[in-house]
Amino acid sequence: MNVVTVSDITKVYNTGMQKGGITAVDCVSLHIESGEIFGLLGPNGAGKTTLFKMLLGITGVTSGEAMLLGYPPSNPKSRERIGYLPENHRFPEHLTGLGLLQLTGNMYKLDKEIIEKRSAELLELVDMTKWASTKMKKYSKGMLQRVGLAQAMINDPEVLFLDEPTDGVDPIGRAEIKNVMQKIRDDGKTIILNSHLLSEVEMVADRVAILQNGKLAKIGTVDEMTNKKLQYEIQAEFRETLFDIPEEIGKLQSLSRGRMVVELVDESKINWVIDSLRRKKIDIRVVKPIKITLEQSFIETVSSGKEGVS
Amino acid sequence: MNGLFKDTLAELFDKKTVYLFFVITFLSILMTLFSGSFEMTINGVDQGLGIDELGIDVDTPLLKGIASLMSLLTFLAVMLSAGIIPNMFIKGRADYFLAKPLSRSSLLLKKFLSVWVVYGLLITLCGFSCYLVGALVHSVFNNLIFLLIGAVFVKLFIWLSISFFVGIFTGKTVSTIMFLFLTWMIQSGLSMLYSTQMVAGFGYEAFGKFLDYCYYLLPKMSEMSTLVDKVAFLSGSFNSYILYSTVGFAFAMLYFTLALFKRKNY
Ligand SMILES: Nc1ncnc2c1ncn2[C@@H]1O[C@H](COP(=O)(O)OP(=O)(O)OP(=O)(O)O)[C@@H](O)[C@H]1O
Ligand SMILES: [Mg+2]
Repeated sequence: MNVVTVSDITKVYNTGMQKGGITAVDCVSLHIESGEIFGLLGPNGAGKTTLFKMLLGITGVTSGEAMLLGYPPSNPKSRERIGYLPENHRFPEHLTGLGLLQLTGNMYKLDKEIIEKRSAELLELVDMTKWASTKMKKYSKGMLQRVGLAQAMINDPEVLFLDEPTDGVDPIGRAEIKNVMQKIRDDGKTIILNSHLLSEVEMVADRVAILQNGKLAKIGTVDEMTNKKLQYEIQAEFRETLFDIPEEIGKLQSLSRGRMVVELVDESKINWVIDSLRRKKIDIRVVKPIKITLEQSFIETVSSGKEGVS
Repeated sequence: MNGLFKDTLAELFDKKTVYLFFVITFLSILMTLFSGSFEMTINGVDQGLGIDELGIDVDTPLLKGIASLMSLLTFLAVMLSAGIIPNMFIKGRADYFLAKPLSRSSLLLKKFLSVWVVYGLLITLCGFSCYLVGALVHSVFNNLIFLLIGAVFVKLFIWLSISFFVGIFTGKTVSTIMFLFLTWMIQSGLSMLYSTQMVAGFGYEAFGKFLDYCYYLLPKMSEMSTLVDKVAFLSGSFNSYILYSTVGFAFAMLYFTLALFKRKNY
């Protein structure tokens, strides 16, 4: 089931200064399935936050269509079973951490007992119990982030929107947040994550989309993103440092005693390589596609996108 | 209790200015306690009213004193309220409130209601406790105090409708305060002109018309006060037009605020 569907969604901010306004999101279509962790990536100003805001009805949609849990964002019902941690949030500072959770629960029309119970659990989860009755204006950035995460989960949401959840959180806290996200996903909930820490996204996300200048530059599973297309590493006992590969098959990238890297014209050509190695009676130990990090993949996508523009 | 009520209350007590209410009330109570004669403490006692002729000694001056106390507190409350809406919808906080499963109208109306009730009750609490002290000391009690309290809520409603409108429109506390002050100035000026029959556009017909429109469109707060005086102190006739047009103005303002809020991007 799709929890989020957007088709050809566009947002133009009308600003006095720039003629025609700023196109923050430009004809993006995608869908997010129930039970996945979906990472939304992109350089600063790519339109990630704007996409969140449109889905949550905070800002209007210029054109195109959006659906959240089966309702358009204009219908408050669409937000009944979601949680949201905004970026650069400034929760009402006159409230305590516990007060924030109570107010949030109240706006979700939860029963008083449920609010009390969930608040205590969540404050424990984000390790903020001892700060529960301190006013938020006395919180540090990471502490605010922690209660922010807690308030996003007060209604046990079906879909959790997290806009840079680890921003300002210490390494231990980040690891904890990662565990929390995995636990939520294991409960069958969906998380839509917006983060610049790609190593973390790579660890938790199932699928990612890369936005650039408001456009969808790339979308796919983390595996697809991190597979260096058509490059394979073969580990074997090579007796000679020469190995001819015809042009119609591919190209030899490197060859040392224990390791060979080839780039192929298409995937099926790996069989040719294996066959010819076996004919030479070479013992193959491992054949595997070469992975790059999500960060490398991101940088490649974004810089090739930039070339395309200029 | 509704969450937004609690939030409004917490916000109010977070601002240290709220203690000004208590200080003013405390001083008024002291004045009530230690003043044998009310004429000394209360400015603007209508001499023509003839306190003695009506046969009520301390009753009317006490009520009038409380009425001015509550007017002052209402003014303070309105100024304090100017920051509420801009504060609620700053970047990063608007996102928090708007992503909740409340329609925008119900979010704003709930906030309006909670501010109205919380601030109204605060003024009532201050005014009524002061009245009670006076009433006990002088062993009098007049039910008209409830009319005065009702009038506080009506006036607060009108001012809040303007405060909310400008708050949503500009998103800035300073502009809201300035606008409220401007409305008050223009309105008082116009009322003065009209009450002294000085308007004829100063010789320009179009200007006279313009002033007329302004006068009839704007809420008539000072007339409202006079109106309450008239009713409370049984002098003169009741001009219901002023009450209805002013309350109508507030409802129209609230309607425009909601319409504006619904289309606003954050
Ligand atoms: N309220 C606004 N009014 C006008 N323009 C805006 C507004 N909010 C965002 N923008 C513009 O829209 C574009 C996308 O902004 P957005 O905040 O969605 O980026 P982002 O991908 O979340 O960036 P970051 O990684 O820095 O958070 C930017 O060019 C920004 O200047
Ligand atoms: Mg952002």
